[in-house]
Amino acid sequence: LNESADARRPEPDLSTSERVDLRLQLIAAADDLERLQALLRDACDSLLLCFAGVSDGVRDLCDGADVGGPAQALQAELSGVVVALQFQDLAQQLIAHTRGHLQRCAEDLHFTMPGALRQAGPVTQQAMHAGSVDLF
Amino acid sequence: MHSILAVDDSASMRQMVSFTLKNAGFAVVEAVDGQDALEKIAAKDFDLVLTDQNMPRLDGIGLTRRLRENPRYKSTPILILTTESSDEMKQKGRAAGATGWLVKPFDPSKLVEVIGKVIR
Repeated sequence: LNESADARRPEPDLSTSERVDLRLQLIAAADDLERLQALLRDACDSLLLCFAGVSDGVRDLCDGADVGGPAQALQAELSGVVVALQFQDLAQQLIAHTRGHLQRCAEDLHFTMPGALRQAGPVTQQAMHAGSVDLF
Repeated sequence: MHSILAVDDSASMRQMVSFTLKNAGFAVVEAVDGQDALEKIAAKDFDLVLTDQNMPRLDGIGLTRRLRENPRYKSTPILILTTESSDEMKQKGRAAGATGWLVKPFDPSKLVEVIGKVIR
């Protein structure tokens, strides 16, 4: 299957060592994006907690007294925050999309390498779950 | 009080939607994806469904199709709130029976205005 896939792919104008290096760079970039996603998630969780506290405070403030104009100004600011805080959802989707591209490029380079360089390392598990069993 | 089912796999989006709609006087129930939404709908009736498109297990268009097969939801407003903005996707949403297609990020006052127009 891999041989027929190789036959369909145009041969890139790169030496084997350049392909190996490029593939490693792509994998490193995809890993960096994964870390960026985790950082964004943590930062946004903190921002959302702060937002919940502030919006509760504004609601209490508006309920407890006739603050008129200032209360309306605060509500308008909160509406702006609601729009801004949606960045995480957009950013996460974009990062996931870009990571997918990088991983597919790295995979394509993998398939254009000579067979000896394609060997995966002996350990490919990502977690300590029981492995699959194949009986022949 | 009108009740709205807000469906999104992003916790931050659910929080923003809930905050906006509760402030506007709606009762809001959240679901984490289309499948979760179907389970919530089996337990309670809603006056409007606001759903994301790209979600695990069951996406927004799939949820819309499933809801339109349910006689109780044949004419309930279903709004899709998504990052997807292509005409092709909008047409798919329309064909599935969605009432409207909103592109993220949403503006709170516009979202409330649109919901006010379509909710019964």
